[in-house]
Amino acid sequence: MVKIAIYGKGGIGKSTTTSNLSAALSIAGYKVMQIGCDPKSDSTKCLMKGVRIPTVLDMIRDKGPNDVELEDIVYEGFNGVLCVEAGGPTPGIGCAGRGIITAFDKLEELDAYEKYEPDIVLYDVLGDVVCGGFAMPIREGYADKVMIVTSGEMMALYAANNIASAVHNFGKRGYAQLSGIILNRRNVENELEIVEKAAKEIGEPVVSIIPRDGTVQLAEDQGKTVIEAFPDSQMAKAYMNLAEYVMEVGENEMLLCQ
Amino acid sequence: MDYLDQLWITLPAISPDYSGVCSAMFDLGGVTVVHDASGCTGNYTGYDEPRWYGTESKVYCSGLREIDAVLGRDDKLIAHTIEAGKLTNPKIYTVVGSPVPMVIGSDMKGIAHELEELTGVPSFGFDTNGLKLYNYGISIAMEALIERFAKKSERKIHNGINILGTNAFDFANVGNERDLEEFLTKNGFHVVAKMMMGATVEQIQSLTMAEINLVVSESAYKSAKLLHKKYGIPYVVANPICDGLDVLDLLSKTLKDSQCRIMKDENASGSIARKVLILGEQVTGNSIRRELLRRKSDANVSVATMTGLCNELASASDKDLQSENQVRRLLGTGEYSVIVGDPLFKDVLECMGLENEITLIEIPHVALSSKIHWNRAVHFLGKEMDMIISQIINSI
Repeated sequence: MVKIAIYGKGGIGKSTTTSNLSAALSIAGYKVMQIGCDPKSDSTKCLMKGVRIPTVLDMIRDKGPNDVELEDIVYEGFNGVLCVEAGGPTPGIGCAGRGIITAFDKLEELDAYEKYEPDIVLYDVLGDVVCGGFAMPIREGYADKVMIVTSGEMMALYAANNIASAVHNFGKRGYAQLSGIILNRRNVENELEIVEKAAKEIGEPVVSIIPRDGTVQLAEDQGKTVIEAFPDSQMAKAYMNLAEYVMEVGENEMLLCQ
Repeated sequence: MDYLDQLWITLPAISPDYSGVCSAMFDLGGVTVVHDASGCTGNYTGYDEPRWYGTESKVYCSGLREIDAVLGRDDKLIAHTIEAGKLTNPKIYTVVGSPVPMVIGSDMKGIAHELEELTGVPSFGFDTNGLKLYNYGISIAMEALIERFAKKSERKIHNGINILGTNAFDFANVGNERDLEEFLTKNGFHVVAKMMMGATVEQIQSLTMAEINLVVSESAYKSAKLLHKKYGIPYVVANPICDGLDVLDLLSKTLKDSQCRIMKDENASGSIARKVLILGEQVTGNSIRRELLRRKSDANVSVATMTGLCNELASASDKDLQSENQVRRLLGTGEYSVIVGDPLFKDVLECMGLENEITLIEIPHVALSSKIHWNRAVHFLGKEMDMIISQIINSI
């Protein structure tokens, strides 16, 4: 099993990228689990025909902490992708970071990984590593690798740099390591050059370039990923290419474990 | 469980998980730092650790303050821990969580990883939060130590035995752990490792040389299962009391056939009308029940615990009592005429007006009554326990 956390600035397209990546990996024959780590809890929507699934924290709130079962929180989406949403507290109160920890603890307690035995787990994580809770997906025992999604926009690159610093700082703790930058194009002028320059400063390569294309919006309007709605499109090919890179990372990681 | 179940009116709170970790680490010669403002450390050193007074101790408080919690100053904790280490030259470092680190999501394992990177000294971090109980703390500490230090050994020591589960909450500080070692040695065993009273890192490294594990408290059961799964060492779950003969019998059978054995009695519902409830640590409770049945086969005896009943160690009639309210409800049914347990249950009986109906036979439990009664703790092996068993039998 290989676990990868996908970070990036809010609104940069992490959930779209992650969902399409999950779908592409499932087409390639892998058993994938996607865990949304954002109180908005819409990470897996396009894998679930546009429907939001109940979150781990919703179920803990509704059923009580001791009565939640895996069937309440793990849903099978497009092509067998296992979908989980961590969820969040009541808006304006509670603690979102602590919520992520509670959701992860619950998955662990219920032996989710042992029961479903996914080949690849993708954590789709909100924005920046703002507190202990949002670092949870990269702690020991969770993600092995971190990928950062960015565009050529200043704020997205700023967030990417912060995330990379956090991951480097946590190196002493045996946390996950960076494994490349995904450029999700916004068609900013000289975007590739800007992002490649930033990537060089961060010390990680740009491993995938996702073009800006209306196909994504059309697929999302249908509540689907591009892989499901337009499997023969150029965009689908771009996501398949990203999936190939992830498969390579996964195989190397598994070889390392062996 | 309803909301009233969380009210503790007469009884004090049972020792928490962070105290369990600190206690487990106490004899290992390491620096232990509780990440708290000082209340949790004070609770452990003042009320949960009977060995604290009169022995060298390296248990520290991190002195966590509000601003450190807000700013995530793990760096301060790490720096202070290393400072403490410079003064004491520890064999290991342990950082232990408490309620505030739990709320802010401190990664105690990650902090320990960093400590080890910086010092080269084996380091452990535990995400304890004060909401679980001491037996859980001991259990996770034992498992972590075994995972880290135990090494596969080709050589077995003939009649080599590990004692798993001695701890100051269930065995107090009156020499029970020494009595147990002496008892096993006198009966032909070679004690390879003791966990956790009298433990050393070297012992844990060599514990796979033992042929058998003796599990004397529930807190060590998971470790015994881990050692069985990983190294094939079979176990017996029982605490030798009085003459300890029943436990010797189980050990001898397990040495012969390598089958794991748990001392528990499904046929303890004899015809005697005055029923007995043993309320305390589960493994010792099972052993007291066996001794009662040996002497009076028609006795009717159940075991109950307030520290989370382990079903694998329990008989059908045993009770999981998660609060004082549940204890009161059970006593109020009038089902039991004799209670064997901590002296503080006397207050519960008086409060309920049941002191004349129910006889209490006292066996102090440090995890519940702490320093109020820890000097009166019972010697499990020998005459004192013999007399208690006779006292119980005379009451039914």
